[in-house]
Amino acid sequence: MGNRNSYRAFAPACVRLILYVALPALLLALQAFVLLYAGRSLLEVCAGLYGAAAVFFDFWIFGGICARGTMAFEYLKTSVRGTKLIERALVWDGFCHFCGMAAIILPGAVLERILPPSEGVAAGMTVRLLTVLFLDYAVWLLAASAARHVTMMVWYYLISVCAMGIFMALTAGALGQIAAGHIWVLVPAAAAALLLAVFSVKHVMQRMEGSYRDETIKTGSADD
Amino acid sequence: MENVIQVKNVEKNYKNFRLAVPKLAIPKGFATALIGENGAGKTTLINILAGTRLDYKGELCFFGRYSDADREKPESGVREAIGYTGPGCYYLPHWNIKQVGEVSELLFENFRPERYGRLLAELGLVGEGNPGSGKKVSELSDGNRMKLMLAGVLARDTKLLILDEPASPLDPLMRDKLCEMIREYLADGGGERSVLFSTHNISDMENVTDYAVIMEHGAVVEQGFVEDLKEKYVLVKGEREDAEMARKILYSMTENRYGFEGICLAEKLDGLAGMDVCTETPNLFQISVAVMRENTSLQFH
Repeated sequence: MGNRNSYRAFAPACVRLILYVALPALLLALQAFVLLYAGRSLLEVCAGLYGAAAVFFDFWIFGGICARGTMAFEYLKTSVRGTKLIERALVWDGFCHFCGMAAIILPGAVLERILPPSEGVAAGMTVRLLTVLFLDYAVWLLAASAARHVTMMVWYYLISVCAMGIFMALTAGALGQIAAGHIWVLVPAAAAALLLAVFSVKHVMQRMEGSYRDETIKTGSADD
Repeated sequence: MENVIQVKNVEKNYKNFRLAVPKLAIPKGFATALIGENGAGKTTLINILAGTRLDYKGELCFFGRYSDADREKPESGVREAIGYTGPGCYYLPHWNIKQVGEVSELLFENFRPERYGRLLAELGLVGEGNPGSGKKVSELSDGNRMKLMLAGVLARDTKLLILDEPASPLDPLMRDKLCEMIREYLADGGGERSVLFSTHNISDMENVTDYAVIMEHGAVVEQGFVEDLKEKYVLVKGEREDAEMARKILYSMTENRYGFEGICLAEKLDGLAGMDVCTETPNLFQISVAVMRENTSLQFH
Protein backbone atom coordinates (compact mmCIF):
# COMPACT_ATOMS: atom_id res chain seq x y z
CA MET A 1 0.00 0.00 0.00
CA GLY A 2 1.87 3.07 -1.19
CA ASN A 3 1.14 6.73 -0.60
CA ARG A 4 -0.30 7.18 -4.06
CA ASN A 5 -2.69 4.23 -3.79
CA SER A 6 -3.78 5.40 -0.36
CA TYR A 7 -4.50 8.85 -1.73
CA ARG A 8 -6.36 7.46 -4.73
CA ALA A 9 -8.64 5.60 -2.34
CA PHE A 10 -9.78 8.92 -0.89
CA ALA A 11 -9.61 11.25 -3.87
CA PRO A 12 -11.89 10.38 -6.77
CA ALA A 13 -10.31 10.41 -10.22
CA CYS A 14 -12.41 13.36 -11.39
CA VAL A 15 -11.31 15.47 -8.40
CA ARG A 16 -7.65 14.66 -9.08
CA LEU A 17 -8.11 15.50 -12.74
CA ILE A 18 -9.64 18.88 -11.90
CA LEU A 19 -7.15 19.79 -9.17
CA TYR A 20 -3.92 18.70 -10.80
CA VAL A 21 -4.58 18.99 -14.54
CA ALA A 22 -7.59 21.05 -15.52
CA LEU A 23 -7.41 23.83 -12.96
CA PRO A 24 -3.66 24.53 -13.28
CA ALA A 25 -4.02 24.52 -17.08
CA LEU A 26 -6.98 26.88 -16.90
CA LEU A 27 -5.25 29.27 -14.50
CA LEU A 28 -2.04 29.31 -16.56
CA ALA A 29 -4.09 30.05 -19.68
CA LEU A 30 -5.80 32.86 -17.78
CA GLN A 31 -2.42 34.29 -16.70
CA ALA A 32 -1.16 34.16 -20.27
CA PHE A 33 -4.29 35.85 -21.56
CA VAL A 34 -4.15 38.70 -19.07
CA LEU A 35 -0.40 39.18 -19.59
CA LEU A 36 -0.84 39.27 -23.34
CA TYR A 37 -3.83 41.54 -23.58
CA ALA A 38 -3.72 43.62 -20.41
CA GLY A 39 -0.05 43.51 -19.53
CA ARG A 40 -0.88 42.67 -15.93
CA SER A 41 0.45 39.91 -13.76
CA LEU A 42 -2.21 37.61 -12.39
CA LEU A 43 0.18 35.21 -10.69
CA GLU A 44 -0.81 35.89 -7.08
CA VAL A 45 -4.53 35.97 -7.91
CA CYS A 46 -4.29 32.64 -9.74
CA ALA A 47 -2.34 31.16 -6.84
CA GLY A 48 -5.06 32.36 -4.46
CA LEU A 49 -7.80 31.00 -6.68
CA TYR A 50 -6.10 27.64 -6.82
CA GLY A 51 -5.67 27.57 -3.05
CA ALA A 52 -9.35 28.41 -2.54
CA ALA A 53 -10.41 25.74 -5.03
CA ALA A 54 -8.14 23.23 -3.29
CA VAL A 55 -9.91 23.95 0.00
CA PHE A 56 -13.32 23.52 -1.64
CA PHE A 57 -12.42 20.27 -3.38
CA ASP A 58 -11.07 18.86 -0.12
CA PHE A 59 -14.78 18.25 0.62
CA TRP A 60 -14.65 15.30 -1.79
CA ILE A 61 -11.40 13.95 -0.38
CA PHE A 62 -11.39 14.23 3.40
CA GLY A 63 -14.67 16.07 3.86
CA GLY A 64 -15.89 16.07 7.45
CA ILE A 65 -13.28 13.59 8.61
CA CYS A 66 -12.65 15.48 11.84
CA ALA A 67 -16.24 16.55 12.41
CA ARG A 68 -17.74 15.94 15.82
CA GLY A 69 -20.17 13.09 15.95
CA THR A 70 -19.21 11.51 12.68
CA MET A 71 -18.13 7.92 12.32
CA ALA A 72 -15.61 8.80 9.63
CA PHE A 73 -12.80 6.81 11.23
CA GLU A 74 -14.80 3.76 12.26
CA TYR A 75 -14.21 1.72 9.12
CA LEU A 76 -10.52 2.59 9.04
CA LYS A 77 -10.24 1.50 12.67
CA THR A 78 -11.39 -2.01 11.87
CA SER A 79 -8.12 -2.67 10.06
CA VAL A 80 -4.56 -2.62 11.37
CA ARG A 81 -3.71 -0.73 8.17
CA GLY A 82 -6.30 1.99 8.71
CA THR A 83 -4.02 4.43 10.51
CA LYS A 84 -1.28 4.05 7.93
CA LEU A 85 -3.74 4.37 5.05
CA ILE A 86 -5.08 7.71 6.10
CA GLU A 87 -1.70 9.03 7.18
CA ARG A 88 -0.20 8.19 3.80
CA ALA A 89 -3.19 9.67 2.02
CA LEU A 90 -2.82 12.93 3.95
CA VAL A 91 0.91 13.15 3.28
CA TRP A 92 0.44 12.49 -0.42
CA ASP A 93 -2.43 14.99 -0.54
CA GLY A 94 -0.15 17.64 0.93
CA PHE A 95 2.60 16.81 -1.53
CA CYS A 96 0.23 16.88 -4.52
CA HIS A 97 -1.23 20.21 -3.53
CA PHE A 98 2.23 21.70 -3.13
CA CYS A 99 3.10 20.48 -6.60
CA GLY A 100 -0.21 21.81 -7.94
CA MET A 101 0.53 25.25 -6.53
CA ALA A 102 4.07 25.14 -7.83
CA ALA A 103 2.65 24.18 -11.23
CA ILE A 104 0.79 27.47 -11.32
CA ILE A 105 3.35 29.77 -9.74
CA LEU A 106 6.59 28.62 -11.41
CA PRO A 107 5.26 28.36 -14.98
CA GLY A 108 3.46 31.63 -14.26
CA ALA A 109 6.84 33.21 -13.58
CA VAL A 110 8.11 31.79 -16.87
CA LEU A 111 5.15 33.37 -18.62
CA GLU A 112 6.05 36.70 -17.04
CA ARG A 113 9.56 36.35 -18.48
CA ILE A 114 8.14 35.65 -21.94
CA LEU A 115 5.40 38.29 -21.68
CA PRO A 116 6.71 40.86 -19.21
CA PRO A 117 3.94 42.76 -17.41
CA SER A 118 3.78 46.49 -18.03
CA GLU A 119 3.46 47.19 -14.30
CA GLY A 120 3.44 45.44 -10.95
CA VAL A 121 6.09 43.37 -9.19
CA ALA A 122 9.12 42.60 -11.33
CA ALA A 123 9.13 39.17 -12.91
CA GLY A 124 11.49 36.37 -11.95
CA MET A 125 12.23 37.31 -8.36
CA THR A 126 12.89 33.98 -6.66
CA VAL A 127 12.04 35.27 -3.22
CA ARG A 128 8.71 36.55 -4.45
CA LEU A 129 7.82 33.26 -6.08
CA LEU A 130 8.80 31.15 -3.11
CA THR A 131 7.01 33.46 -0.68
CA VAL A 132 3.80 33.30 -2.70
CA LEU A 133 4.12 29.51 -2.95
CA PHE A 134 4.70 29.01 0.77
CA LEU A 135 1.94 31.43 1.74
CA ASP A 136 -0.50 29.77 -0.64
CA TYR A 137 0.40 26.36 0.75
CA ALA A 138 0.22 27.50 4.38
CA VAL A 139 -3.18 29.16 3.95
CA TRP A 140 -4.52 26.09 2.15
CA LEU A 141 -3.28 23.80 4.94
CA LEU A 142 -4.85 25.95 7.64
CA ALA A 143 -8.16 26.33 5.81
CA ALA A 144 -8.40 22.65 4.88
CA SER A 145 -7.62 21.62 8.47
CA ALA A 146 -10.47 23.85 9.64
CA ALA A 147 -12.86 22.73 6.91
CA ARG A 148 -12.36 19.06 7.77
CA HIS A 149 -14.28 19.75 10.98
CA VAL A 150 -17.50 20.46 9.10
CA THR A 151 -19.65 18.20 6.98
CA MET A 152 -21.70 20.63 4.92
CA MET A 153 -20.47 21.78 1.54
CA VAL A 154 -21.67 25.34 2.10
CA TRP A 155 -19.18 25.68 5.00
CA TYR A 156 -16.39 24.41 2.77
CA TYR A 157 -17.35 27.08 0.25
CA LEU A 158 -17.32 29.84 2.90
CA ILE A 159 -13.98 28.68 4.31
CA SER A 160 -12.46 28.58 0.82
CA VAL A 161 -13.61 32.16 0.15
CA CYS A 162 -12.10 33.27 3.47
CA ALA A 163 -8.88 31.44 2.58
CA MET A 164 -8.64 33.39 -0.65
CA GLY A 165 -9.11 36.66 1.22
CA ILE A 166 -6.52 35.78 3.86
CA PHE A 167 -4.03 34.70 1.22
CA MET A 168 -4.44 37.90 -0.80
CA ALA A 169 -4.01 40.05 2.31
CA LEU A 170 -0.91 38.16 3.46
CA THR A 171 0.57 38.18 -0.02
CA ALA A 172 0.00 41.90 -0.48
CA GLY A 173 1.80 42.55 2.79
CA ALA A 174 4.62 40.17 2.00
CA LEU A 175 5.19 41.49 -1.50
CA GLY A 176 5.26 45.01 -0.13
CA GLN A 177 8.01 43.96 2.25
CA ILE A 178 9.93 42.25 -0.55
CA ALA A 179 9.62 45.34 -2.74
CA ALA A 180 11.11 47.32 0.18
CA GLY A 181 14.05 44.93 0.27
CA HIS A 182 12.92 42.90 3.29
CA ILE A 183 13.39 39.49 1.82
CA TRP A 184 13.36 37.86 5.26
CA VAL A 185 9.56 37.44 4.86
CA LEU A 186 10.40 34.23 3.03
CA VAL A 187 11.56 32.67 6.29
CA PRO A 188 8.29 32.90 8.27
CA ALA A 189 6.34 31.93 5.15
CA ALA A 190 8.45 28.78 4.72
CA ALA A 191 8.31 28.02 8.44
CA ALA A 192 4.53 28.40 8.48
CA ALA A 193 4.19 26.11 5.49
CA LEU A 194 6.39 23.45 7.06
CA LEU A 195 4.77 23.62 10.50
CA LEU A 196 1.26 23.57 9.09
CA ALA A 197 2.13 20.66 6.82
CA VAL A 198 3.12 18.64 9.88
CA PHE A 199 0.21 19.97 11.94
CA SER A 200 -2.44 19.14 9.34
CA VAL A 201 -1.45 15.47 9.28
CA LYS A 202 -0.86 15.22 13.04
CA HIS A 203 -4.19 16.85 13.77
CA VAL A 204 -6.19 14.31 11.79
CA MET A 205 -4.18 11.45 13.28
CA GLN A 206 -4.83 12.81 16.76
CA ARG A 207 -8.54 12.94 16.02
CA MET A 208 -8.36 9.36 14.87
CA GLU A 209 -6.52 8.32 18.02
CA GLY A 210 -9.06 10.21 20.08
CA SER A 211 -11.95 8.43 18.40
CA TYR A 212 -10.88 5.23 20.17
CA ARG A 213 -11.97 6.93 23.38
CA ASP A 214 -15.56 7.97 23.93
CA GLU A 215 -14.54 10.63 26.45
CA THR A 216 -12.56 12.42 23.74
CA ILE A 217 -14.97 12.14 20.83
CA LYS A 218 -18.42 12.54 22.22
CA THR A 219 -20.70 10.76 19.81
CA GLY A 220 -23.79 11.28 21.91
CA SER A 221 -25.23 9.15 24.70
CA ALA A 222 -23.52 6.02 25.93
CA ASP A 223 -24.93 3.59 23.46
CA ASP A 224 -27.97 1.72 22.33
CA MET B 1 -16.84 -26.30 23.71
CA GLU B 2 -14.47 -23.78 22.18
CA ASN B 3 -15.09 -20.10 22.49
CA VAL B 4 -14.33 -17.50 19.85
CA ILE B 5 -14.34 -14.63 22.34
CA GLN B 6 -13.85 -14.72 26.09
CA VAL B 7 -14.51 -11.65 28.17
CA LYS B 8 -13.10 -11.28 31.67
CA ASN B 9 -13.84 -8.38 34.03
CA VAL B 10 -14.53 -5.89 31.28
CA GLU B 11 -15.63 -2.52 32.60
CA LYS B 12 -16.30 0.82 31.06
CA ASN B 13 -17.64 3.89 32.79
CA TYR B 14 -19.58 6.76 31.33
CA LYS B 15 -21.04 9.65 33.28
CA ASN B 16 -24.39 7.96 33.92
CA PHE B 17 -23.73 4.43 32.79
CA ARG B 18 -21.43 1.57 33.66
CA LEU B 19 -20.71 -1.52 31.61
CA ALA B 20 -19.57 -4.40 33.79
CA VAL B 21 -19.18 -7.87 32.36
CA PRO B 22 -17.24 -10.13 34.75
CA LYS B 23 -17.42 -13.16 32.49
CA LEU B 24 -18.79 -13.86 29.04
CA ALA B 25 -17.98 -16.51 26.46
CA ILE B 26 -19.16 -16.43 22.87
CA PRO B 27 -19.18 -19.98 21.50
CA LYS B 28 -17.29 -20.79 18.34
CA GLY B 29 -19.15 -22.02 15.29
CA PHE B 30 -22.49 -20.50 16.24
CA ALA B 31 -24.56 -17.36 15.75
CA THR B 32 -24.89 -15.44 19.00
CA ALA B 33 -27.51 -12.75 19.49
CA LEU B 34 -26.80 -9.91 21.89
CA ILE B 35 -30.20 -8.77 23.08
CA GLY B 36 -31.17 -5.87 25.29
CA GLU B 37 -33.31 -2.78 25.50
CA ASN B 38 -32.09 0.68 24.47
CA GLY B 39 -29.21 1.75 26.66
CA ALA B 40 -28.45 -1.76 27.87
CA GLY B 41 -24.84 -1.58 26.71
CA LYS B 42 -24.92 -3.72 23.57
CA THR B 43 -23.14 -1.24 21.31
CA THR B 44 -20.65 -0.40 24.04
CA LEU B 45 -19.76 -4.07 24.40
CA ILE B 46 -19.66 -4.63 20.66
CA ASN B 47 -17.39 -1.62 20.15
CA ILE B 48 -15.00 -3.04 22.75
CA LEU B 49 -15.01 -6.48 21.15
CA ALA B 50 -14.57 -5.05 17.65
CA GLY B 51 -11.74 -2.85 18.84
CA THR B 52 -13.21 0.48 17.80
CA ARG B 53 -13.12 1.64 21.40
CA LEU B 54 -10.08 1.04 23.54
CA ASP B 55 -10.97 2.93 26.72
CA TYR B 56 -12.02 0.02 28.88
CA LYS B 57 -10.61 -2.19 31.60
CA GLY B 58 -10.50 -5.94 31.55
CA GLU B 59 -9.29 -8.77 29.38
CA LEU B 60 -10.39 -10.21 26.12
CA CYS B 61 -9.33 -13.40 24.44
CA PHE B 62 -9.93 -14.03 20.73
CA PHE B 63 -9.91 -17.41 19.02
CA GLY B 64 -8.70 -19.06 22.18
CA ARG B 65 -5.24 -17.52 22.18
CA TYR B 66 -5.04 -13.83 21.27
CA SER B 67 -5.42 -11.08 23.82
CA ASP B 68 -6.78 -7.63 23.04
CA ALA B 69 -3.18 -6.39 22.88
CA ASP B 70 -2.47 -9.06 20.27
CA ARG B 71 -5.47 -7.84 18.31
CA GLU B 72 -3.67 -4.54 17.62
CA LYS B 73 -0.61 -6.30 16.21
CA PRO B 74 -0.70 -6.84 12.43
CA GLU B 75 1.17 -10.15 12.65
CA SER B 76 -1.52 -11.73 14.84
CA GLY B 77 -4.09 -11.48 12.04
CA VAL B 78 -6.92 -10.98 14.55
CA ARG B 79 -8.29 -7.84 12.93
CA GLU B 80 -8.05 -9.49 9.51
CA ALA B 81 -10.14 -12.34 10.84
CA ILE B 82 -12.86 -10.11 12.27
CA GLY B 83 -15.51 -8.44 10.13
CA TYR B 84 -17.40 -5.64 11.84
CA THR B 85 -20.40 -3.57 10.83
CA GLY B 86 -21.45 -0.57 12.89
CA PRO B 87 -24.85 0.84 13.73
CA GLY B 88 -24.66 3.89 11.50
CA CYS B 89 -22.54 4.16 8.46
CA TYR B 90 -18.83 4.02 8.94
CA TYR B 91 -17.77 4.95 5.45
CA LEU B 92 -16.87 8.50 4.50
CA PRO B 93 -20.14 9.96 3.14
CA HIS B 94 -18.66 11.12 -0.16
CA TRP B 95 -17.26 7.68 -1.01
CA ASN B 96 -19.16 5.82 -3.67
CA ILE B 97 -19.85 2.10 -3.76
CA LYS B 98 -16.87 1.48 -6.03
CA GLN B 99 -14.56 3.47 -3.75
CA VAL B 100 -15.67 1.42 -0.76
CA GLY B 101 -14.39 -1.64 -2.58
CA GLU B 102 -11.11 0.07 -3.45
CA VAL B 103 -10.53 1.19 0.14
CA SER B 104 -11.46 -2.26 1.45
CA GLU B 105 -8.88 -3.82 -0.85
CA LEU B 106 -6.20 -1.57 0.63
CA LEU B 107 -7.32 -2.14 4.21
CA PHE B 108 -7.73 -5.92 4.20
CA GLU B 109 -5.56 -8.59 2.63
CA ASN B 110 -8.46 -11.04 2.66
CA PHE B 111 -10.85 -8.77 0.73
CA ARG B 112 -12.08 -10.41 -2.48
CA PRO B 113 -13.14 -7.81 -5.08
CA GLU B 114 -14.92 -10.36 -7.28
CA ARG B 115 -16.97 -11.57 -4.32
CA TYR B 116 -17.72 -7.95 -3.42
CA GLY B 117 -19.07 -7.36 -6.92
CA ARG B 118 -21.18 -10.49 -6.74
CA LEU B 119 -22.58 -9.53 -3.34
CA LEU B 120 -23.43 -6.03 -4.53
CA ALA B 121 -25.46 -7.53 -7.34
CA GLU B 122 -27.02 -10.14 -5.06
CA LEU B 123 -28.09 -7.46 -2.58
CA GLY B 124 -29.49 -5.26 -5.30
CA LEU B 125 -26.99 -2.43 -4.98
CA VAL B 126 -25.74 -2.57 -8.56
CA GLY B 127 -27.36 -3.62 -11.78
CA GLU B 128 -30.38 -2.45 -13.66
CA GLY B 129 -32.78 -0.43 -11.58
CA ASN B 130 -30.38 -0.30 -8.62
CA PRO B 131 -28.24 2.51 -7.18
CA GLY B 132 -25.09 1.58 -9.13
CA SER B 133 -21.42 1.61 -8.17
CA GLY B 134 -21.14 5.38 -8.68
CA LYS B 135 -23.75 6.14 -6.05
CA LYS B 136 -22.39 7.98 -3.03
CA VAL B 137 -22.74 6.47 0.41
CA SER B 138 -24.51 9.62 1.62
CA GLU B 139 -27.13 9.16 -1.09
CA LEU B 140 -27.99 5.61 -0.08
CA SER B 141 -30.93 4.83 2.16
CA ASP B 142 -30.23 3.39 5.62
CA GLY B 143 -31.12 -0.06 4.38
CA ASN B 144 -28.85 0.17 1.35
CA ARG B 145 -26.02 1.45 3.50
CA MET B 146 -26.36 -1.59 5.74
CA LYS B 147 -26.38 -3.82 2.66
CA LEU B 148 -23.17 -2.12 1.54
CA MET B 149 -21.56 -2.78 4.93
CA LEU B 150 -22.66 -6.41 4.79
CA ALA B 151 -21.29 -6.77 1.26
CA GLY B 152 -18.02 -5.29 2.51
CA VAL B 153 -17.58 -7.73 5.41
CA LEU B 154 -18.88 -10.81 3.62
CA ALA B 155 -16.47 -10.15 0.75
CA ARG B 156 -13.63 -10.95 3.15
CA ASP B 157 -12.37 -14.30 4.38
CA THR B 158 -13.07 -13.83 8.04
CA LYS B 159 -13.57 -16.14 11.00
CA LEU B 160 -15.76 -13.88 13.09
CA LEU B 161 -18.46 -11.40 12.20
CA ILE B 162 -19.40 -8.77 14.77
CA LEU B 163 -22.53 -7.03 13.54
CA ASP B 164 -24.12 -4.16 15.46
CA GLU B 165 -27.85 -4.04 14.76
CA PRO B 166 -27.57 -5.43 11.23
CA ALA B 167 -31.31 -6.03 10.93
CA SER B 168 -32.55 -2.66 12.17
CA PRO B 169 -32.62 -0.71 8.91
CA LEU B 170 -33.55 -3.69 6.75
CA ASP B 171 -36.97 -4.54 5.38
CA PRO B 172 -38.48 -7.93 6.32
CA LEU B 173 -37.40 -9.54 3.05
CA MET B 174 -33.86 -8.37 3.48
CA ARG B 175 -33.85 -9.55 7.10
CA ASP B 176 -34.73 -12.99 5.84
CA LYS B 177 -31.91 -12.67 3.33
CA LEU B 178 -29.57 -11.61 6.13
CA CYS B 179 -30.46 -14.74 8.11
CA GLU B 180 -29.79 -16.82 5.02
CA MET B 181 -26.41 -15.14 4.55
CA ILE B 182 -25.45 -15.73 8.16
CA ARG B 183 -26.42 -19.40 7.87
CA GLU B 184 -24.39 -19.76 4.68
CA TYR B 185 -21.42 -18.00 6.30
CA LEU B 186 -21.48 -20.42 9.22
CA ALA B 187 -22.08 -23.48 7.06
CA ASP B 188 -19.20 -22.62 4.72
CA GLY B 189 -16.91 -22.24 7.71
CA GLY B 190 -17.24 -25.85 8.81
CA GLY B 191 -17.53 -24.90 12.45
CA GLU B 192 -14.60 -22.48 12.37
CA ARG B 193 -16.68 -19.36 11.77
CA SER B 194 -18.80 -17.50 14.29
CA VAL B 195 -21.21 -14.59 14.26
CA LEU B 196 -22.07 -12.17 17.04
CA PHE B 197 -24.84 -9.69 16.33
CA SER B 198 -26.86 -7.30 18.44
CA THR B 199 -30.51 -6.99 17.69
CA HIS B 200 -33.85 -5.54 18.65
CA ASN B 201 -35.59 -7.68 16.05
CA ILE B 202 -35.54 -10.85 18.09
CA SER B 203 -38.45 -12.40 16.21
CA ASP B 204 -36.86 -11.90 12.81
CA MET B 205 -33.44 -13.09 13.90
CA GLU B 206 -34.52 -15.97 16.10
CA ASN B 207 -34.36 -18.55 13.34
CA VAL B 208 -30.64 -17.91 12.92
CA THR B 209 -29.79 -17.53 16.60
CA ASP B 210 -28.05 -20.41 18.33
CA TYR B 211 -26.85 -18.65 21.46
CA ALA B 212 -28.39 -15.66 23.21
CA VAL B 213 -26.88 -13.10 25.57
CA ILE B 214 -29.35 -10.77 27.24
CA MET B 215 -28.11 -7.51 28.69
CA GLU B 216 -29.61 -4.92 31.00
CA HIS B 217 -28.03 -1.86 32.62
CA GLY B 218 -24.59 -2.74 31.36
CA ALA B 219 -24.59 -6.29 32.68
CA VAL B 220 -25.31 -9.72 31.26
CA VAL B 221 -28.46 -10.98 32.97
CA GLU B 222 -28.98 -14.19 31.03
CA GLN B 223 -27.11 -16.23 28.47
CA GLY B 224 -27.25 -19.67 26.97
CA PHE B 225 -28.02 -21.75 23.94
CA VAL B 226 -31.54 -21.03 22.74
CA GLU B 227 -32.60 -24.65 23.13
CA ASP B 228 -31.35 -24.67 26.72
CA LEU B 229 -33.13 -21.40 27.46
CA LYS B 230 -36.33 -22.89 26.06
CA GLU B 231 -35.99 -25.68 28.58
CA LYS B 232 -35.08 -23.33 31.40
CA TYR B 233 -38.15 -21.15 30.90
CA VAL B 234 -41.78 -22.14 30.40
CA LEU B 235 -44.67 -20.13 28.98
CA VAL B 236 -47.62 -20.45 31.34
CA LYS B 237 -51.20 -19.52 30.55
CA GLY B 238 -53.96 -19.61 33.09
CA GLU B 239 -57.28 -18.30 34.33
CA ARG B 240 -57.68 -14.81 35.66
CA GLU B 241 -58.64 -15.91 39.14
CA ASP B 242 -55.25 -17.57 39.57
CA ALA B 243 -53.32 -14.51 38.42
CA GLU B 244 -52.52 -13.16 41.87
CA MET B 245 -51.16 -16.50 43.07
CA ALA B 246 -49.27 -17.04 39.82
CA ARG B 247 -47.69 -13.60 39.98
CA LYS B 248 -45.55 -14.76 42.91
CA ILE B 249 -44.18 -17.65 40.87
CA LEU B 250 -43.92 -16.24 37.39
CA TYR B 251 -40.79 -14.48 36.20
CA SER B 252 -42.95 -11.96 34.37
CA MET B 253 -46.63 -11.80 33.63
CA THR B 254 -49.19 -10.04 31.47
CA GLU B 255 -52.84 -10.06 32.36
CA ASN B 256 -56.11 -9.35 30.60
CA ARG B 257 -59.72 -9.87 31.62
CA TYR B 258 -59.72 -13.47 30.47
CA GLY B 259 -56.54 -14.75 32.01
CA PHE B 260 -52.85 -14.35 32.37
CA GLU B 261 -49.77 -15.34 30.45
CA GLY B 262 -46.27 -15.33 31.73
CA ILE B 263 -42.85 -16.82 31.74
CA CYS B 264 -41.82 -19.05 34.57
CA LEU B 265 -38.59 -20.76 35.42
CA ALA B 266 -39.16 -24.46 34.76
CA GLU B 267 -37.81 -25.33 38.21
CA LYS B 268 -40.60 -23.29 39.81
CA LEU B 269 -43.46 -24.94 37.94
CA ASP B 270 -44.37 -26.95 41.04
CA GLY B 271 -45.46 -23.67 42.61
CA LEU B 272 -48.32 -23.55 40.17
CA ALA B 273 -49.71 -26.92 41.29
CA GLY B 274 -53.42 -26.80 41.84
CA MET B 275 -53.97 -24.02 39.28
CA ASP B 276 -55.65 -24.54 35.95
CA VAL B 277 -52.71 -23.67 33.72
CA CYS B 278 -51.26 -24.87 30.48
CA THR B 279 -47.63 -24.67 29.55
CA GLU B 280 -45.88 -24.14 26.26
CA THR B 281 -42.34 -23.80 25.08
CA PRO B 282 -41.61 -20.09 24.81
CA ASN B 283 -39.80 -18.56 21.89
CA LEU B 284 -36.68 -16.46 22.26
CA PHE B 285 -38.67 -13.24 21.94
CA GLN B 286 -40.88 -14.18 24.90
CA ILE B 287 -37.91 -15.27 27.00
CA SER B 288 -35.97 -12.11 26.20
CA VAL B 289 -38.87 -9.79 26.97
CA ALA B 290 -39.52 -11.61 30.24
CA VAL B 291 -35.91 -11.39 31.34
CA MET B 292 -35.67 -7.74 30.28
CA ARG B 293 -38.90 -6.85 32.07
CA GLU B 294 -37.56 -8.44 35.24
CA ASN B 295 -34.48 -6.24 35.10
CA THR B 296 -35.67 -3.06 33.45
CA SER B 297 -36.30 0.30 35.04
CA LEU B 298 -39.23 0.92 32.68
CA GLN B 299 -42.65 1.05 34.33
CA PHE B 300 -45.27 -1.52 33.32
CA HIS B 301 -48.92 -1.59 34.49
